[in-house]
Amino acid sequence: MQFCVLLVDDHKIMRDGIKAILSRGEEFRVVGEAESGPDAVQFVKLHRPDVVLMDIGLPGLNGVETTAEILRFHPECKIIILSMYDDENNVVSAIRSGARAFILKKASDSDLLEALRMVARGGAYLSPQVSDRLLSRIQKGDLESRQASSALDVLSPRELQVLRLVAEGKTSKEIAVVLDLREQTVRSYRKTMMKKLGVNNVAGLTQLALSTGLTQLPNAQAAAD
Amino acid sequence: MDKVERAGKILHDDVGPLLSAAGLRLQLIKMDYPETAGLVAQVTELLDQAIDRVRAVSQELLGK
Repeated sequence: MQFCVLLVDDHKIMRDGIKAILSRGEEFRVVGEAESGPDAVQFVKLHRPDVVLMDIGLPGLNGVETTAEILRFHPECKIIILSMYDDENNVVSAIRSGARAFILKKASDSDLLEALRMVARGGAYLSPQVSDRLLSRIQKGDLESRQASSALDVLSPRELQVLRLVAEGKTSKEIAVVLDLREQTVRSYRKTMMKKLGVNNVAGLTQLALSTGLTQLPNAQAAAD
Repeated sequence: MDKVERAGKILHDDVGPLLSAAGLRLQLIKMDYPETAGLVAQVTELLDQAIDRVRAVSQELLGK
């Protein structure tokens, strides 16, 4: 059986490299490429690929948020997150969003293919460097999510997406474009969030998003991707 | 954006992905010419060190 794969990365040079590796075998066929989260969501809605291999550091809607969005429309889709680095927050966020695998971009061809095989057949996979680090953290007993994040537990995944974009300074109109929603719907989300979180304005929302680590100041965000 | 910040952003957004893409091409060489596996592993290790170094420097320049 041949599995259909969508590649999502804003760097064409990365997509080309992965496509070349997959083309060496018969198991996987690249049926599409996307360079942004919204493009990936649109492709999945139309073509329903078996597997999505996606960069975590996409501009706008990032890989984690795009994962959640794709799974809303196509829950059977198997998503693999690719990352330059093995930051614990990235790994945990990716898995929580529904991704079935987290692999580093410096993974060998055999690791990449192994991840694709495992995930395409319903399993899960973590790069050896990632799983080693997680095991070590679990053994030391310090693998806990940030306590401050609990303040946002009352929000739905969609509200968290909107909150992150609000905190990044985007207007309701811009958020509507990124998330493929009506502007009025975004405004409604903002009102609901303010009520749930007990804040009265955008500054309050932004402060909460920063203090809980949901988003970072622009400089720090670039360094963390 | 000042020069230091710009340098950090270029390292993070451009140089890092280029190094990763170079790593993928090395994997292709290994797949097509299995006899190069030993040498490819050595170069891959150097690239990994470069990726980690680029990240550390970009974080420093971006003030993280």
